[in-house]
Amino acid sequence: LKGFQPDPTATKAPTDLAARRTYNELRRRIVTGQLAQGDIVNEVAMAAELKVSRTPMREVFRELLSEGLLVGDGPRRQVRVRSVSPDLLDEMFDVRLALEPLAAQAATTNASAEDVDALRLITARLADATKSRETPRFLDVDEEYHVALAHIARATVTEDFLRRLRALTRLALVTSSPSARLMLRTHDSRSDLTVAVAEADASAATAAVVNYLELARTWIRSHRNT
Amino acid sequence: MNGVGTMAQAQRRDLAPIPDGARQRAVRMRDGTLLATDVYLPPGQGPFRTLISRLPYDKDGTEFFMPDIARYWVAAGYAVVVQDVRGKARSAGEFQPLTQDVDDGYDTIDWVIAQDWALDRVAMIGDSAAGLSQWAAAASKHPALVAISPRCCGFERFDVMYDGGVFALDSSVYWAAETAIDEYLYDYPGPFDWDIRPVRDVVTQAVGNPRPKWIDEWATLESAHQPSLPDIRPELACLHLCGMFDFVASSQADAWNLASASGRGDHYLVLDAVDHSWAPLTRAGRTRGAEGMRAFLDRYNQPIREFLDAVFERNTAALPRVRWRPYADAEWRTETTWPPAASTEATYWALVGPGRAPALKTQAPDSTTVVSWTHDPESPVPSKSIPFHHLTLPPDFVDLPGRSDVATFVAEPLTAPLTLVGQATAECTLRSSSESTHLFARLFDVDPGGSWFEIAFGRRAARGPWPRDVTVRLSPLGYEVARGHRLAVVMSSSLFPRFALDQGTDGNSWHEWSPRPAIQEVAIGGPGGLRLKVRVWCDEREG
Repeated sequence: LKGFQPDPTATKAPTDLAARRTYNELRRRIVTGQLAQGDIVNEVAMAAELKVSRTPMREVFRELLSEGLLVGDGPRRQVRVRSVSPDLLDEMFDVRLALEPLAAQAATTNASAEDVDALRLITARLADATKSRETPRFLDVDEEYHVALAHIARATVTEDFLRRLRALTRLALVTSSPSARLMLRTHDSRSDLTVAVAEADASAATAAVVNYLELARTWIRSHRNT
Repeated sequence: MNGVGTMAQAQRRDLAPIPDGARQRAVRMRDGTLLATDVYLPPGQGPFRTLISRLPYDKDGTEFFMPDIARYWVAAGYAVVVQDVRGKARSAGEFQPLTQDVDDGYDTIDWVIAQDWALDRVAMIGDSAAGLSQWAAAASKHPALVAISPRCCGFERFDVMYDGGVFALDSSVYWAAETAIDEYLYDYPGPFDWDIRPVRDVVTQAVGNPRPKWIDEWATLESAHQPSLPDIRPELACLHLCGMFDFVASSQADAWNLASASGRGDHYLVLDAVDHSWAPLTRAGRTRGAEGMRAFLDRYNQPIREFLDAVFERNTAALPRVRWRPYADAEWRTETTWPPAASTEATYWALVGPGRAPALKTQAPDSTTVVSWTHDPESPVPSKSIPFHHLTLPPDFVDLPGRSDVATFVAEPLTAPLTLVGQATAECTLRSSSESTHLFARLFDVDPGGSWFEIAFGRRAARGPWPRDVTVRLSPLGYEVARGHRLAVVMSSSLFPRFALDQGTDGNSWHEWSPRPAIQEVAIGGPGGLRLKVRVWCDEREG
């Protein structure tokens, strides 16, 4: 709407931008429960509803399938929103508990001053979301922290795994929205981790990550309403 | 219903990645809040001349191309610091739009001059909200801030929103819907449905609930607003950059008029033939693609660079006080004052008569009458253009003369080119059947083919007792009307959705809708007769 217009011919959003926006919208519907776990999601119908062509919608489906938020199954290869079973949840946290301490330890070694500042900024925004008790905002910012930490670790394969696992955690939280107390404790463990990375304290970083993951697992297990 | 049915149209924009060449730091404000701040440094050890820009549009995004602009300045040897304001994008804290920048500006400057790569004298750059944040930082009186270069803005937000006492509706709504929902920026794939009433529900439909609370406050400001120069340091150098086709141009002209007459600060003015988005009016057309971007950055930054180089070199004596040009690809014309000393006032009188089309003449009419129209709030005069992009796809107002709810006056074709400068006024005696009303005046260039191009506009809220004299001040001009073209003035009582609707009652159409048509009468001829006062440039080079 506003902003510069150095090239007035560029009025149509490029396909990748359309795909990005569609991805954001569809992912938002999944992680907020607007599309429930197990719901069938039809590519053609969704393209019509979101007013995009099939090409970007195909890209979006591919990305969400890769993240594990959608699954293709059944005799007619229907695409559904993934259901997070108790077994899957346990497996997911086991893998995160194996991987994330490694990422946190690597971050304490690799983080530059700019990396530490990036974690500080996200931690401060997490505090704001906690204070205002805005759950979706809190979860979005916490997800940013997760991605930033994996990136700072400079471990490409781990980062890739963690991105995918984070999406599944977000899905698990659809049916167990965090309380104000959990948000506060989560923020505190993130804050501890930021300090540990800043001080290059690998053991404190590990402890903070484990604390964070155990908090999340316990919460989701005890508050699942399906 | 436009858009996507009942689904909110707002689509959250991803935060752009931190660009190559930028180092993001967390800068602590006095209350402990951390603001995300990119630092771009030239090669070498420094210390460097440093420019600061503070904006709510995502410092790394493409909306204002700050990464490209930073690269331009780094290539010129400057360090550049670009910051997300409090509560926006990656900065923490609560976003209170356009109100928190005095202390945050001061603290950011403090942080910058404490860095070993920065000199102890800094300047600021930026447009629109990033221009307002410059005036706010100037009001902090930080001694290290030696220059600002605000572009496309007044001193503060209400200067733009309430110029003439009429709320700038669509620009404020678009701004709030894009910028003031939460810390993110939002896009809208479809047009807003401006047929919805009351008008606040246009925002609700587009954004979803809750509406940004700020827009309700802005749209219902109770008291009249007058711009005033912030308390700045007397030695501060200020380059005012104004687009003559910018919807905020009148407010920026106010800022220039007040500042340059104040004795506080050292003020310079650039008036270019561009709109808010710095899209140009050119003779030769526009270059597109990557080459167009380079040309844009050069055109956009060049006057600021000359100004800042001079300020940092403490050598401003040779800087022209005023520069303007009628086309963005023309040579700059330099002046010592604005409007130029080499200009004369001319008056065009509105004229109507039996069997004649309403006209615009340089001779006053020898009889008096009135011209009237009915203002129907349910069928307002459409404003057509998107406020930020008047020149990107300029609308043709060829259908205006056929409307019954406007008064249109057209002059004879020009026998020689005419260059209009300064700010025109439309003055008249007004009478309304309503207790209060709005009066809009617009000036058009009508080409021989019949296209109507809007070159200036103004608005004024007026209240009885009637009749009363009303002066509508138009946006600044530096416009060349070609031979064979005609000037036209159009008066109306609505211009929607560019401006809030007067609904013929005292109720604010933002929150309530009880429209009542009103008869408006404007005097023609005599001392209160409608007239357009303009200044005509006399090109001294042509004698």
